[in-house]
Amino acid sequence: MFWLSFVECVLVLSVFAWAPVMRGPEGFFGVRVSEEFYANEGRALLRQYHVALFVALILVGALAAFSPAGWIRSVPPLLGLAGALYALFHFRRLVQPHHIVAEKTRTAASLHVRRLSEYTNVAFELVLMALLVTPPLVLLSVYPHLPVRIPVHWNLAMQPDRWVTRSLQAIFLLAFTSLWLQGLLLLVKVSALRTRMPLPVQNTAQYFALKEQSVKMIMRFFDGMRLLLAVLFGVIQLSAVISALPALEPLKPLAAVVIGACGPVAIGSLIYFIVRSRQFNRQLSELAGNSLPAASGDDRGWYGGVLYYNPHDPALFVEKQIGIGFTLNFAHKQALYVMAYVLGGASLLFVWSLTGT
Amino acid sequence: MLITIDPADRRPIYQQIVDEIKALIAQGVLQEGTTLAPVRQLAADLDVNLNTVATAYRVLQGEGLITVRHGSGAVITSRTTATSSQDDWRKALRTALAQMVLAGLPRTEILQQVTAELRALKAK
Repeated sequence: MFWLSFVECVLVLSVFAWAPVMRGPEGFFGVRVSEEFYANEGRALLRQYHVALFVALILVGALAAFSPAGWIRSVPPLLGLAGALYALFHFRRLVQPHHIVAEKTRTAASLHVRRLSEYTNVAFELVLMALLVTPPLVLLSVYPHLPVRIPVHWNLAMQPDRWVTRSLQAIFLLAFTSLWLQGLLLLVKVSALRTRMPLPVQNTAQYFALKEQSVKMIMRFFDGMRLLLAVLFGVIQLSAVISALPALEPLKPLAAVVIGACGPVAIGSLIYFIVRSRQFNRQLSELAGNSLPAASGDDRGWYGGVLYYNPHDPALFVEKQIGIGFTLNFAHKQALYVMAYVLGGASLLFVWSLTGT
Repeated sequence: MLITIDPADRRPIYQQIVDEIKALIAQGVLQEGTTLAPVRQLAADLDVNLNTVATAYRVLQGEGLITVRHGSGAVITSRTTATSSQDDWRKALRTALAQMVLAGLPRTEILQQVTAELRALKAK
């Protein structure tokens, strides 16, 4: 478990190491700087930042190695995350005095309506619906035949190592978690469409066409993740049935293979997505040259490069200044609904998991 | 279906949006029945105020070129303006031609430019 946590820390710190330079001088630690600064002083700051992250990794590793087993072992990774965030904000503050204000330039935009329905395949959604609905229905139908104690967690050898008392609450927790995650990923798809999409005034049509391809790739990736999650949660739910009913024992290896394969497939897909996103960003940058307006205007409304609150901006989702992806404009009315779904849903499921077991 | 706005242009931004959409209609790029981007989407993409785009759409609706339905967005309903008179477009033409003359362009080049623009607009 220590090595698993260590690998997780390495992955998280790798993301932190890469995030400040993802957008080049347009978003160095989320700050627009000159090419000259980026190539010279910026490089020196980046090296110091990487050293800080490396030291954080060593400290976290040492703390984790010497921590006693139990909940205390989860503290070092959290400290590592806090340290990495502090380092990110600290170095952003050092870079900020070198910020160059983007000139208000000519901007192009498309009049084409961006609709989720254009990126939705009805057959796929029906299959997904079947995958989401079937496992809880199966569980419900065999509920009277399930033992009083049902397994809900399995070790790497597919042996159950945690049980709960049979109850409808316990049975449906995973199903609702799966549904909530589907909603979350749908929100991400919507955010990809509703994020501001300014176009450069040079090579506008080609840029727009390439951007459309990039959006399609994002949609396909998140649909893939939705399918993967539906399969994973579905098999986990059915594993409770398989483990509880001896007649279904032969299906255990199949369930183990499916669950085991989900991890590598997810990681492989994520790596592919990141690589393709970078390729698209590079091609889009080449097409746009210097004529692309700043993605989120100037620094108005940005706090630490990660929090955005701008009541004058009509966009609900904006591209992050640091890292990839989007963030909410917390000044937007609909941001409350999104946060209510994300935080409210997570809290409800957490409380449910505590009370239902 | 691409439009461009220029902060350095003397025309207000909403007028630029109106003119760009009218040009696309005249060129035949925007046909009757085409739905335009919602106000919020276009305002976010152009990084302008919501009211700027809303004003542009109101002007176009006033001229009979689009219909704005709350919830369904703006739809192109006509390729001819309902309100402009011969006086209006003659004035606009005179202004544009005067500017070309003051820029020192010879008559033949002015005629060439006008013909090229007409061709681009696919005028019948």
